[in-house]
Amino acid sequence: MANWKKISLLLFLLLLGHIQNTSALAADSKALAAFLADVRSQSSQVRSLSCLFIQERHLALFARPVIFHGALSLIRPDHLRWEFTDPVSSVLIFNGNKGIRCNDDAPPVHFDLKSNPIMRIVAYQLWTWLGGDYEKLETIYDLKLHNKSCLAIIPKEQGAADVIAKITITFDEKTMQPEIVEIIEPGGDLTRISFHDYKLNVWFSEAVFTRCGNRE
Amino acid sequence: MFGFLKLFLPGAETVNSFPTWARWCVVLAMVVVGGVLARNVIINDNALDMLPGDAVRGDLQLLKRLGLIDRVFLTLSVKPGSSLSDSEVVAVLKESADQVGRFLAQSHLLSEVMYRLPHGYEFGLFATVQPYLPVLLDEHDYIELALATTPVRIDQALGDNFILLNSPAGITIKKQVQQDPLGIIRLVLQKLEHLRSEFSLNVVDGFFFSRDGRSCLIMAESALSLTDSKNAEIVQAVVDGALSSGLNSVIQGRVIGSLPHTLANARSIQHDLRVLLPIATILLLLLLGIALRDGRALLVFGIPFLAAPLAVCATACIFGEISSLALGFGIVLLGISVDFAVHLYLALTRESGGHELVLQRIRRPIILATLTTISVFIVLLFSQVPSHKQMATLALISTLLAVSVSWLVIPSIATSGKRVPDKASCFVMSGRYSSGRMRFVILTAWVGLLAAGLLTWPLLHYNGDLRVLDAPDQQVIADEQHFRDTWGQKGEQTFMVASGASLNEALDRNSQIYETIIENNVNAFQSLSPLMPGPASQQRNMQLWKRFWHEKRPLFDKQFEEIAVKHGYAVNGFASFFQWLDRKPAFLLPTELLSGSLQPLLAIMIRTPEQQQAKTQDASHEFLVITTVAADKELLSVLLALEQAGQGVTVLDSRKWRNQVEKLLRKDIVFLSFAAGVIIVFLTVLIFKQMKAVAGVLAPVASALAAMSLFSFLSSGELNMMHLLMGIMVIGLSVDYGIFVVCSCTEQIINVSSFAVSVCAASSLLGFGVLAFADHPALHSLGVTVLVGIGAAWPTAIWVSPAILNMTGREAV
Repeated sequence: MANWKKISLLLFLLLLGHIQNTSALAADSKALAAFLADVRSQSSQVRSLSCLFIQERHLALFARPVIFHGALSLIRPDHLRWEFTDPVSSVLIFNGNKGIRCNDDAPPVHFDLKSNPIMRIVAYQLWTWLGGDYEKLETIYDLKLHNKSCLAIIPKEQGAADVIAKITITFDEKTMQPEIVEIIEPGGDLTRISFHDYKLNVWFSEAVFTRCGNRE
Repeated sequence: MFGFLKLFLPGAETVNSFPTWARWCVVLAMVVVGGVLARNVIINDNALDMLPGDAVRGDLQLLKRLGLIDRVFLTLSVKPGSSLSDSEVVAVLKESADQVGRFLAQSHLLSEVMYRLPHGYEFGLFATVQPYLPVLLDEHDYIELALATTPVRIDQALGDNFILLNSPAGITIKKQVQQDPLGIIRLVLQKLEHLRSEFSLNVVDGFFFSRDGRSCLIMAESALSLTDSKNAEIVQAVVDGALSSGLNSVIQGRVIGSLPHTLANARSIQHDLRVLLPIATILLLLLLGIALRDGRALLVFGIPFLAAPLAVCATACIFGEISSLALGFGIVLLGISVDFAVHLYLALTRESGGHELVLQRIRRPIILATLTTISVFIVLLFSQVPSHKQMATLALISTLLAVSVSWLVIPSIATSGKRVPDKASCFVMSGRYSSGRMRFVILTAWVGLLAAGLLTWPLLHYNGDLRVLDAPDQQVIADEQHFRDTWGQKGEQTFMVASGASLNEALDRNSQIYETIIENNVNAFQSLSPLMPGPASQQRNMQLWKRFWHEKRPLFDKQFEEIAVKHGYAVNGFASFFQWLDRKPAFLLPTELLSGSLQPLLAIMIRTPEQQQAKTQDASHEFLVITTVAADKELLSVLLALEQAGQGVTVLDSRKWRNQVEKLLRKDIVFLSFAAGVIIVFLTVLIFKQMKAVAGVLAPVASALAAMSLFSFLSSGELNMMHLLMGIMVIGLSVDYGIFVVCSCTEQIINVSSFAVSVCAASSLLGFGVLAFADHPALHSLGVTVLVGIGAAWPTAIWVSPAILNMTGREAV
C-alpha cells in the first residue's frame, strides 16, 4: 500500500513537472513569437541596406583562421551583393534568378539560380539570415530565443543538419538588424560574421547588382 | 460441274419441303446459339494486328512493352496575360505541379508519375556518384583529367576553392571540396545532361521547369492501353480531376501523347457518324421506298446479318480471340451477302414462274457469286497481316452462313408482286445501247479507264504509316506545338532498346549504344549509360583509372600538398581525397542509383520484366534499357547497322517501320491481288468457258480497280490501310455484279438482275459512299474507296458487260 502511495506521489510530481515545463514552453513560445514579429516589423520598414562585415572562418581544412573584410548591399526581396575587399577581392551578386561571381581579375562567371542548385542554396541561406522573415523558418528549423536579442536556429531535417549544426543570430536591439551571425557546422567548424556600419533604405545604382567592378 | 454444291446450298426443292416455321426456327436457333457463345469471345484491341511481318510487329510489340505508347505528358503553364512576377510564377507552378502530381500518383491507373525529384537530390547525387568516379569516367574523360592534375591546374583549382570556401557558398560545398578538390565529378555531371533527353528544361527544387520558367512538366504512364478509346476516357477523367483540383487559377494544363489523339479520333468518328448515318439511312430508305415500294425489303437487308454472331464465335474459336479490326471489317464484308439476299428477294418477287422455278434459276448465279467471293477471302487467308487472316475467316464463314440463312428465310417473306417482262434485262440494256457506235463509245471509254488505271498503278505507293488515318483536332495540334515550343523537342525520336536476361546484360548492351552515339558526335540524346554503364564498361573504366593514378602518383601527391599549403590549407586538409584515391574502386550497382534521388529520372529508362508483363502478356522475361536519340538519316543507318551486328539491340524508329510496312504490304497486295485475280479468272473461265463471258464478268472488277488507282493517283498518290480493306469488299461486290449480269445475258434466266445490281450498287454507294464526306481520314478513305470503286463497277456491269457480250453484233448471247 505504501508503495502505491509513493508511486502516486511520483506520478503527481511528474505531472506537475510536465505542467510547469509546458507552461515554461508556452511562455518561451510567446516570447519567441513576439520577438520574430518585432524583427519582421522592423525589417519590413527596411527596403534596402548596406553595411560592412568581418568574416572569420575557423575550419579544420585551413591551417589557421581566415579573416575576410567585406561589404554587403541588398534591396529586398532579391537583389544582393556580397563583396570581399580584403585580403582578396571577390564579389557574389544575386539579382532575381540570375547571379554573377567574380574573383580578382578573372572574368565574371554568370549563373542562373534555376539551373545551379549550389548557388540556389547559397541564395536561400543568405536570405534566411538577412531576409527578416524568420517565422517562415519554423517549419524546417527549431527556433529558440536565447536572450532578448539572440535567436538560435537548429535544423530539424537530416539534410540540412548534415551541413549546419546551429546558427545563432544576434540582433542589434535598436534596429533589429543582424549584428553577429555564427554558423556552427557538425564537425565543429565555425563561421562568425560581424556586421557593422548599417545604412538603411539607401539608394543603389543598378550597376551594383549587375556588374562586379562598379560598387558605389 | 458444281452440282455437288447443292448439298451445301439447299436447292429449291429442299427448301420448299420444309415448313416456314421450321426454317425460321433453324435461323433463330443459330442466332441464339451465336449470341450466347459470343458473350465469351475475347476481343483484342491490338493495333499491331494491322501490321505485316514478324519484325515490324515485334518492334511495335517492344514499343508496347516499353510503355511508350501509354505515356502522358502534362505541361502546366502560366496563362497568357498573367501579371505575376517571375518568382511568383515559379512558386505557383511548383504548388500546382506538386498538387497535380500527387493527385496523379495516387491513382492506380497511372504509374511512374514524375513531377519532381526528391528534396536534396543535388547533394544526394554527389554522395552517390562521387565514390564511383573510377568506374564512371571513360577514355574520353582522361584527356581532361590529365590536364586537371597538372601543377598549374591544381594551383588554379585550390585557389578558386579557397575563395569559394570563404564565400557564402563555402558551408554548402566544403565537404565536396575536401573530397574532390579538383572537381573531377564535373566530368560526369556534365554528362547528366543526357538524362533529360533533347528536352530543354531546368530542374528547380526538383521540379522540371522550362527555360523561360513559365511552364512545368509532369510525366506519367497509364496502366491502361491508351489506344483504346474507352480506356482513354477513363484516364482523361483522372487527368481532368487532377488538373481541376490541383491547378492554381492562373495556371493552365495541356496534355499530349496518345491520350488526346485517341480521344480526338473517337470524337471525330462519333461526330461523323452522328451526322452521316442519319443521312445515309434516310437516303437508303428513300431508295428502297422508290425502287422497291415494299416494307419487307428492309428485312431483306437485315437477314444476312443474322449469321454474324455464329460466324464471330466460329472465328474466335479458330484463333482463340478476334481483333476488333477484323470484327468490324469482317461484318462490313458481310454486306456482300446482302447483295445475294437482294437478288434472291427481287427474283422471287418480280420474276414469273413461281418460287420453285425462280429459285432454280437464281441458284446458279448465287452459287457462282458466292464461290468467287469466298475465293477472294480464301486468298486473303494467306496475307501477312494477322487481322486480315481473321477478317477473311470471319467474312468467309459469315458469307456462307448468310447465304444459307437468306436461302432459308427470304422465300418465306417474298411474295410475288410486280412482274418484269420475260425479256431478260440484258436485252433491255443492250437494246438501248445496241448500236455499234454506242457500243464502241462505251468500250472505248472503258478501255481508256483501264489504261489510265494500269498506268497510274505503278506510280502509287502504299503508306504504311497508321498516322495517315489519325485525326487530331485543332486543340491537339495546338497543344503539341506548344509542347515543342516550350520544351524544345525537335522532330521524331528514335528509341534504341538494349535487352538482356539480366539488368547487367541489358546495361552492357546499352553502353555499346552509348559509345556508338558518342562516336558519331551526337549530343541530343537521352541515355542511362553515362551514369549507369554496364559491368563490362565499368571494368574497362576501372582499369583506366588504376593505370592513370599509378602513373601519376606519388609525384601528384607531393605537388598537390605543396600547393595546398601555399594557399593556406592544413597539411592533412584533403586527407579524405587521398584516402579515396588509395581505396580500391568498387563497381556501381544499379540498385544503388535506383534507390537514390535520381530514381524518377532513371526508372523511366528501365523496364523490368514485371513492368512489361503488366503491359502485355506476351512479354518475355528480359530487362529493357531505353536510349532516346534524335537520329538523322545518317545516324539511323549507323544504328541499324549496330542492330544488325549486335544481339539484344533493337532500333525503334517510325521511318524503319514505314519502309518495312510499305515494302511488306506492297508485296502482300501484289501477291494477294495476283492470286485473287488468277482464282477469279480461273473460276469464271471454268464456269462460263467463253472468253467474252469471262471478260463480261471481270469487267466491273477491272473498272473498280482502275478507278480506285486513278482516283488515288489524282488525289494523294497513296494507298492506305482503309483503301486496301475496302478494296477487298469492292472487288467482291464488283465480281458479283458481273456474274449476275452475265448470267442474265447469257442464260436469260433471271430478268431482274440489272435492276437488282442497280439497287445493290446504289445502296452500297449510299451506305458507304456517304462516308466519303466524313472529316475523319479513315472513314473518308473507306467512303471514297467504295464510292469510286462501286461508282465505276456499277455502270460497267450495266453497260460494258452487255456490250462485251454483244461485240459480235448479236443482240444477246
